[in-house]
Amino acid sequence: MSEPLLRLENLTKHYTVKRGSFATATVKAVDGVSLHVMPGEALGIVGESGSGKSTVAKVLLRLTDPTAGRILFDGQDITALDGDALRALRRDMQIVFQNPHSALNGRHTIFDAIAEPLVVQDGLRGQPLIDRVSRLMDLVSLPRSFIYRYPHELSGGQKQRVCIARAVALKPRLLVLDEPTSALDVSVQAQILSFLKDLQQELKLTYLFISHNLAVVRYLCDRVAVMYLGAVLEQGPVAAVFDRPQHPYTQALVAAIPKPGVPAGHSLLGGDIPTASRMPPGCRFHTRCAEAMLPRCATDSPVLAPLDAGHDCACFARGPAA
Amino acid sequence: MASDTTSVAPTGWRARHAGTIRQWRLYAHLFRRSFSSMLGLFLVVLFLVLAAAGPALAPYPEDTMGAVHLDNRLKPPSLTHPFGTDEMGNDILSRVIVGTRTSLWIGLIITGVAALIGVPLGIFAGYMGGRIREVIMRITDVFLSVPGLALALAIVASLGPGITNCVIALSLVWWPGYVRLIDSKTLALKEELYIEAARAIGARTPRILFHHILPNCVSPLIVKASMDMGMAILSAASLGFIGLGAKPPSPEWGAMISVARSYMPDWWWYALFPGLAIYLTVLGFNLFGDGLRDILDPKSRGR
Amino acid sequence: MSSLLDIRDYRLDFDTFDGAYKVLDGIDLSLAEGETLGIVGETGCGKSVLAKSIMGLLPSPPARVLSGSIMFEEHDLLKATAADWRAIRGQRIAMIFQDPMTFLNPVLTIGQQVCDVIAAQQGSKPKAARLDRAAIRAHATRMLELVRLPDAAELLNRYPHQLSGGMRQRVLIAMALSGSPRLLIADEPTTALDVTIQAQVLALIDDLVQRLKLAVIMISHDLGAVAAVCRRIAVMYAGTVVEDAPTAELLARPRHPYTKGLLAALPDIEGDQATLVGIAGSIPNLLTPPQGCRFHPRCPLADARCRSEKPLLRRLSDTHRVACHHV
Repeated sequence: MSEPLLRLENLTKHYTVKRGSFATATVKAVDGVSLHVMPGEALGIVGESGSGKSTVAKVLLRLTDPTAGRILFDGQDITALDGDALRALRRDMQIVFQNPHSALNGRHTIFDAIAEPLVVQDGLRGQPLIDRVSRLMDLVSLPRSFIYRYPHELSGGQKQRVCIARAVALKPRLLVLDEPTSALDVSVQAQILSFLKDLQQELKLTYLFISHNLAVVRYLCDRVAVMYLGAVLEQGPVAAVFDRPQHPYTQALVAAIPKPGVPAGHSLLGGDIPTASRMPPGCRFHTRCAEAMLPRCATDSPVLAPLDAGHDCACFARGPAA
Repeated sequence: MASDTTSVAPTGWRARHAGTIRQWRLYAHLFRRSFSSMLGLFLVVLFLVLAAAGPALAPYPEDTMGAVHLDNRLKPPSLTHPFGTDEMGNDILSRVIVGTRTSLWIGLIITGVAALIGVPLGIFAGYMGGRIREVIMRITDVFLSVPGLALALAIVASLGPGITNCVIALSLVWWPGYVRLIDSKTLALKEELYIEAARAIGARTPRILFHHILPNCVSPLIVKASMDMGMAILSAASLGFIGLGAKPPSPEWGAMISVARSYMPDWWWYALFPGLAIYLTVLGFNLFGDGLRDILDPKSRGR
Repeated sequence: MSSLLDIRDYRLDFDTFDGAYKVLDGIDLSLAEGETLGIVGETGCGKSVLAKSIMGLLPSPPARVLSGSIMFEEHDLLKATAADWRAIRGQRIAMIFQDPMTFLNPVLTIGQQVCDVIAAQQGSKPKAARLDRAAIRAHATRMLELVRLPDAAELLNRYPHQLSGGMRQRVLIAMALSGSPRLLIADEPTTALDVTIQAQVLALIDDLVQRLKLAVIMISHDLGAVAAVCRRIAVMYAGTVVEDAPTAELLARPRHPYTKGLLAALPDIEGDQATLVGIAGSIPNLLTPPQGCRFHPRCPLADARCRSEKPLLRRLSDTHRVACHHV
């Protein structure tokens, strides 16, 4: 088996927030996450708001510094890279953000937006730059007539294509997609998703796909990790995790998707998501868990343990430990 | 919609800038709808025309250079001297017109220098944050906590009276407002997703500042500068009035009123017309600035 | 079956600098007492504009009504005066919105805000029927209990930021229902919420509909969420209703090409999908909407007739209506 392209080891990101005038609280946005992504694979990260899935993306792209843990890209430890070495690394890992409306500078034309990485990293200018930008627009199926338009003249789906063109301009190896379709309409979402799937084949990309939409992850990804309050509770191949969810939280997530014909309120997860600054002790999910019956649930924190090939779950009531 | 499907990049200036042209047409449309904005624009344009062509338009150009016509002293407004004459027998209309150019220079230099000092400090403070921002903003606070005109008075007093020193003094007290404005704008822009996107691409800090943040600061900057033009002219006139700015007989509005106050109220026209010039200029720039803010600030923009 | 709400040939333009946007183009919809109707469509289809029309919340200008009527309990809402609206809003028709936080004032307690809403409704009642302060507060508590908020009495003293998103949406539902309206309009009520919280809120709305015999219009881009609550769904595209049918029938046997496209574009959590088919093209610019059927530039079935003649919403059966020349 080949080496993973990206490996996160015990990645942790804590923020200190002010509470009132003097008191501070620690927000454990990401709390000991270990993941790996194989070359050419698409790994999905799903979770609700506050699960830390977007923070994982920011930390692994080194847009913000981790509190602890290591990030290995292609075998190289990039946790402490800075300056020119970090800038060079940005060629290899790129991101597409959730909201294409705010990810593009309204004062820059489409040309400026797609050209920026080529200017910044390669110092390209003049006709070669125009040619490269035009080819990238062809790649993402944007009419060339859009080249000197401004973002506000484009639809949401077209803007997201601009963002994708920008992200793949430098031929990255890893593309992080942070909820790339959640601001779009379903018919446009379907266009972008099937385009992303083709693009992965064409450019031999590795995807890290972050989403709250399980069905979208199921469509695009090979494996999935389910996050809750900063930790991974279950991970494995998409078919295994979504067809036979093991962790009570994953089961509730899958059941919560509204389905025609099934009356609303079927299999409800009670309560609210605790905030990451007031983390419950023990298993972080036990306050909402329908099965939290073991005494350990309220005191110990379960770790990911393998259930079967490549399918891990962090629950005392599951797996060989149970 | 037909052009959307063509696969060739547009050529020609109009096609390439179609979006920009439409944007400007929208601005013009919104601006035209407001009477006060148009009045402001009219006053500002009038002011600029008078400043540009002043000596050519003045009926008695020699009266602005300190000529003496003792036979013609303090004549009330008439057809030959629509604004009347002053104690030297000089035509007040000519002096008000020529004074326009002085006022324009004063306004431009004060706001220009203030922006030149304030904008880099503000951008730097806002983007860097932390201790650098603390230092810059506390120095700004110190300047803001002293009344600007009083501080300018102190500076002119130490440099000696005169129009140049007056402009230097006012420029030195004018910049803190720009630091405040640009700092808060930068703080907000820094959180924008496209700034993070630029960082993810590997853009260096200067590129982010000059390509992303500065262009987005231009709108509030233009609005503030256009309003400040009027205020700067007023402040310079105030210093002239108390004898610390331009010296008579140079045709500066504040200095003219300063002399005229001893001829009040019997020779009312002497103080009235320079005063009216100051009033209309300040009003014009304020209305113009307000109009610009209405069209440039997306929050108040109704389509 | 008497209809509670009856919209006939409702056409609306938005006047802007660029010209008139033809936002709604001949809407025909009706809703019976106690019926649940979902309105589904993508950005710019006019579903929120329609909802705001029913609530009388559209500023004019830019909105300009060209034709039609919106009859509610035998009164034409398009002719309602400011005084009429005070008696209608909150007490006959109520609305809840997408983002609960923007509709709650952060510096007032939940109790003050719920009580304010109830107090405002007293004005249009006869003097004898008006509630005093204690009764208003008791009513507020009952309303919070109705939406299944725990510790309702205690919650009245809290501030909005101390509540989670799901709880805030419940508070807004409580406020909307405090005047016992006959019709509740829910504009994307769960879009800002997480899936597990969305499921709770949808279950609550479903439960309230059953218990209070409320008529509901639920507007959403999420077909799944609408289908979970509504018995009937109307699909809108570019300012027109293209299909209107009972939920189960619409999902099982969609007739309009747009509805079919919308269903095919939904990724499915169950089973592996090899391909996902989007609808080619993008929504039309309503400044210059396509001639004939507004969907024809994106429609696989489009022919000459579709390009010239606007299809009418025709009845296929008692309950199923569709606007397409090819059905």
